[in-house]
Amino acid sequence: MSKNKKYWKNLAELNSENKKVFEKLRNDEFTQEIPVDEILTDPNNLENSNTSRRDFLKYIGFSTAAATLAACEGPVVKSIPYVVQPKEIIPGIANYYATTIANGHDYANILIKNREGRPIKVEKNSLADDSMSANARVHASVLDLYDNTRLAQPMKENLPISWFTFEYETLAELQRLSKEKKEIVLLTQTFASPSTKSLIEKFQSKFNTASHITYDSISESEALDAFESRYSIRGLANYDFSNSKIIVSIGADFLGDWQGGGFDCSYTKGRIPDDGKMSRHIQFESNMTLSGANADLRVPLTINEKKLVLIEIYRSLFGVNKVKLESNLQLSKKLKNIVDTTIIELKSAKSGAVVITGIQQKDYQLLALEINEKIKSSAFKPSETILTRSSKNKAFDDMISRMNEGKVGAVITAGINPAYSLADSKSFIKAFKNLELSICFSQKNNETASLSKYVAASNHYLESWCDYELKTEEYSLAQPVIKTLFNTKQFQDLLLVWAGSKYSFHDFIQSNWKDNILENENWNQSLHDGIFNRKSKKISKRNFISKNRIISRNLKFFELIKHSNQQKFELNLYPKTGMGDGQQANNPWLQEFPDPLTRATWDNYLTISQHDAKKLNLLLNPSTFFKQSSNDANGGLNGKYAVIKLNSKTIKVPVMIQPGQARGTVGLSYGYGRSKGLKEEMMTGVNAFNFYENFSPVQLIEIEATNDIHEFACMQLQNTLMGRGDIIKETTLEVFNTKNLDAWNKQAVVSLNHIETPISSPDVDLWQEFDRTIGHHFNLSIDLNACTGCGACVIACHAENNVPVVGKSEVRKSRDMHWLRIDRYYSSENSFEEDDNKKDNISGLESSLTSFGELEKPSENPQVAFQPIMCQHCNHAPCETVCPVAATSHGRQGQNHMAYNRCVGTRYCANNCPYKVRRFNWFLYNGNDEFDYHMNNDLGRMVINPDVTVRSRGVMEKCSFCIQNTQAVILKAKLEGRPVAAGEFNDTCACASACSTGAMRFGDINEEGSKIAELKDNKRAYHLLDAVGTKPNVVYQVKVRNIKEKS
Amino acid sequence: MLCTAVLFLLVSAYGFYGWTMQVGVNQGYMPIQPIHYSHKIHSGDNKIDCNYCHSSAKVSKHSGIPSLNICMNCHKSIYEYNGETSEEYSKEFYDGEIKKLYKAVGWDDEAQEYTGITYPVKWVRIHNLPDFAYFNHSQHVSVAGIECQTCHGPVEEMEIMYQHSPLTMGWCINCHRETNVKVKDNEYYDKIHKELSKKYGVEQLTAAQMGGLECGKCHY
Repeated sequence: MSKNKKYWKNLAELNSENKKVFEKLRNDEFTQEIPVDEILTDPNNLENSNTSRRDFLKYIGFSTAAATLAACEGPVVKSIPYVVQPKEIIPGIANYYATTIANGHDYANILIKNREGRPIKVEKNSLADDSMSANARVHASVLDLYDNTRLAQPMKENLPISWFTFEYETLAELQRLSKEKKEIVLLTQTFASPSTKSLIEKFQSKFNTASHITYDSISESEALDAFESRYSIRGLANYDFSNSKIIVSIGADFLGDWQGGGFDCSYTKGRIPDDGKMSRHIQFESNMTLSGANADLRVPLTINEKKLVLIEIYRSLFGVNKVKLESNLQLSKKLKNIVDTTIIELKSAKSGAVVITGIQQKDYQLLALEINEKIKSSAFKPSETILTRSSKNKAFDDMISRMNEGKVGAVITAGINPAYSLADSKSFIKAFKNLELSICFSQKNNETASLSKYVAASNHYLESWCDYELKTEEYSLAQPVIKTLFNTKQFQDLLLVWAGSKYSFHDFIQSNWKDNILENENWNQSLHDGIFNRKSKKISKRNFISKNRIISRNLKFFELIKHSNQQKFELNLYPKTGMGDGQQANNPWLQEFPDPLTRATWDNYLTISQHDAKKLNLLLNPSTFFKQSSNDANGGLNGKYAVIKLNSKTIKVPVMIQPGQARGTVGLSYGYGRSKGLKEEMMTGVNAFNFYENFSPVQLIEIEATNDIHEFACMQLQNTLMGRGDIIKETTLEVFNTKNLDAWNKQAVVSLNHIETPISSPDVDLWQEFDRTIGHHFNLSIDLNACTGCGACVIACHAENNVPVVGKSEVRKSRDMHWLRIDRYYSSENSFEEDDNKKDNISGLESSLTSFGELEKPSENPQVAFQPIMCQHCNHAPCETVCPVAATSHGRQGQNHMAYNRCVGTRYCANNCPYKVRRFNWFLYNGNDEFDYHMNNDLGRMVINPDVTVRSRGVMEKCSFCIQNTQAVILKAKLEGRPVAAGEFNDTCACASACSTGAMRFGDINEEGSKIAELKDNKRAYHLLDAVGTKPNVVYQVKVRNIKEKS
Repeated sequence: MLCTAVLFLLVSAYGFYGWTMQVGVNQGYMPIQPIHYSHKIHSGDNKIDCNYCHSSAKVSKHSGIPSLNICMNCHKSIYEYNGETSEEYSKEFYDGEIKKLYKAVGWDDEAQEYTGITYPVKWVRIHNLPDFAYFNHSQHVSVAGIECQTCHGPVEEMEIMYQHSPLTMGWCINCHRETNVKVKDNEYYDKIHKELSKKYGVEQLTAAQMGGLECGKCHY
């Protein structure tokens, strides 16, 4: 029966009329006949075909064979030795030279590491003062040397000319103008260089119509005026915060670029509470800055409120009647309370107190100077005058008006880019173009150079000679560490030519130093050290003692104009940690450097408080299903564009919600929006200098929302800790001093037979312990109290370890390659402690649904914590156990090794790493047409460290504890037949060596009496996520905040 | 039949394995150099110490190819070859090679002075370690006191220089396993050798026991 059973698939099949059709469909796969025969039998068809079957096979065969052969045959490598080898160069051994950077924005005494004649890294000059150590931008400056957009020869009207013609023609022009009594203006950066100064005087004596005007792109003119009027020196006071009891900063980002920066070292010295004492830091500010993020108490304020706070403090010390106000504005009651307690604290700290301000008005700067004098602040050091800023706004403005009137015949610019960095650049450009002679000294064909008649291709600072007096009587030298890469000269060379001198600038400096500075000390020793501090200081401290010239003042306020429907906002312009004034905008390391606070790369943006964003309709909602959401599916952050308006100028700028931004204020950083002399990829962001009118960093603007969306590339998308207090452990000074260890640094416990056992106990360990007392054992300690988040370590790590730059779109996909990142967390409640409590009190579904959601959002004025994270080099590393090819393994010295050539790219290790520190090479970032960064041209590759592998596509990479350097130290000891000296390992890790504040300390814990051994067992020490039991070799020190109860 | 097929497959698989294992191994690589420099004459016949020319081997990771001024230390006065010759390598041949040196370094033999016009020699590199392997000559030459010939073979007999050893990782590791660390007169090793030899219960530690097999010692 079953044989006869017939199955049909549909009703149509059942119908016998269709039977034929179905049979045909069933039997033939192709219902229409395939014209195989037709094609193959027709000779025309085959003859006319471009590729016959035989050809096709030939091609396949050939390409396969060619690929196979190419893969097997090693290339012929040529080696070209010197004809005459310089005796100081041994291939494979680094040379170090002391030099100084002074680019108009950053000034630092540094060492340069040279390999085979190539400068490859900026290192710390331990002889120099801590305040002169390198920041992130200085560390990145070595890459600027190898920038392939640099000018290769001098130019006239955008056509290359020879130096001979350049010198001949410019000299003739200058002589003519001088004869015609036309003014010649030397418009330069602040050099702070004694020899350059005397050279300029020489130039002026030759051309008596010449004047010298300095121009700092970010002006400190008001502060300089204040200091000058009080102490008769145009400079800025130095501050040493190491012994301060209380630091009150009113709008001064002194851990950033305030008055030249460099105050972080002395600040952090006073922030280590090991003896139970630390300074207290109160910050009144508008933007969230590094200083605010590190403060114990941060009060977000508008400019008017900041001024009132400063005046309140002043009045409390000098008497209410000493200052009169034009306006009847008053502090709010809440703010008054805060100021009153601050004043009480200030008074009780006596000379341990210091007040600083960033308000760019002479009168307010004077208030701060007078306050510090009155309280005899020990931190206040006017006698150590900082000379790295010198511009005078009035002198500059006068010069511009003279230019417009046609009185100026020639302008010679050096080290500056006013066509970019002036607010009123259009009128400058017009006047500049109309000049009879314009000469621009520039490394790039930038905005100003492209307008100049003559462009003098300039040396990079690593190719130049110079001398400096960065603070009074503290001298330093800069020497070339490489021969000029291009046909370039430095500004001073040409000054010498114009002044008719036969000297080289080197000889000029040397004779100047012998005559005026050295006082019979050795020139060679000074050059070797890079610095020279005169023993007999000429300037006595008496000049700086208060002269009691305090008069009653009239202090003006910004007028707040309130329209009926349009609220004006205060725009606070600031230099970003990674970009400064924008002269290094073509540096891919700095473009990809994440901002310490917003963690955004490749961008600048308008920072705004959530409250104002909501009001202005600039807020994007998170995780909606609609188009405009704050984050993409891959997490990438989005922001709305706003149009900001100042007078007739408008800028369309993306908006970033910034926790801690004072209501009614917005922030925007300088340094972006460059348009000339750099690669297209680097033309990021908008030019905030357009709004820098009258050199005032605070402007009143209007903001209008748009519906356009901007895509940010942030390194970090999780902003809060969600109450996970064991990631960043922190406590208050009071608890730290009074409670026992368990109250603030409790070790994790796990249950063993229902008994709580500490995680360090071998009984709860999955692994057998390895004896780690033999040989070296490396540890890195990171003090969360000392880390200001400055990011110098991030760039130093880049330079040392050949970390590739991946570009904005890759960063947005979380494919950044940073081996070391500095995580930044905001508290969701007012403090992290409240977050912890909130999380602990969650019970039940309803409460967890709402509370966890709330904990994701940062508070309006949050506490901030920074945590540098790199490979933790776990003794019981989870990554090692999951690698199927054993590409990552542990060394006896505590380092977790990564053998790139063994890695097959499964990425199991990255998935199993609890710290998320492993980075995968998605592409071949070097030698790849898709990426036009330094590793993709021969010039840029010169910065590569030859001791570290340049990783290829498809392998994992991560921090190695700079094993190339620890091994080098060991080898050096072996070669000299001695044990490794005490502290010799301390500077081997690039990050720890770059950390000027001493937050990072590296070393061998088996070395007797070493600092790191002590830090590892410090009572503040803890391991990140210790409950996981990974036993890391990176140890963190608990953050202690000096918070007064209910202040 | 099946047996034969399996055997054939196994043999060919082994053959393929053997073939892949020699990929990138250039043992015996003997390229023609721009100047015929005979190690046999210099190192063998004239007994010049290796370190005289390859001076950085003692202190640096690179052994260093001597710069031409090193050659001229002797060849300023040695302008012809007077040693043994053969049909292939005649006196004229060797003298011609010395002339090549003079041209490269810019030495005018007639006037006995440097012309200043130089043509740096583009030697063909023989020993090529891949970039991901870190090797340091000074560690082996100065610290361990290993003879150059241990790795480079009988250089003093080589008329034309060639790669003597395979320079594979297996070859490195074998040596590390078999060779004892030279601890004598080196205070660096005092403490660690005492502790480690006690731990492993041996008199003499091999390089491997000292940590010479750890990945990160050569790969970073």
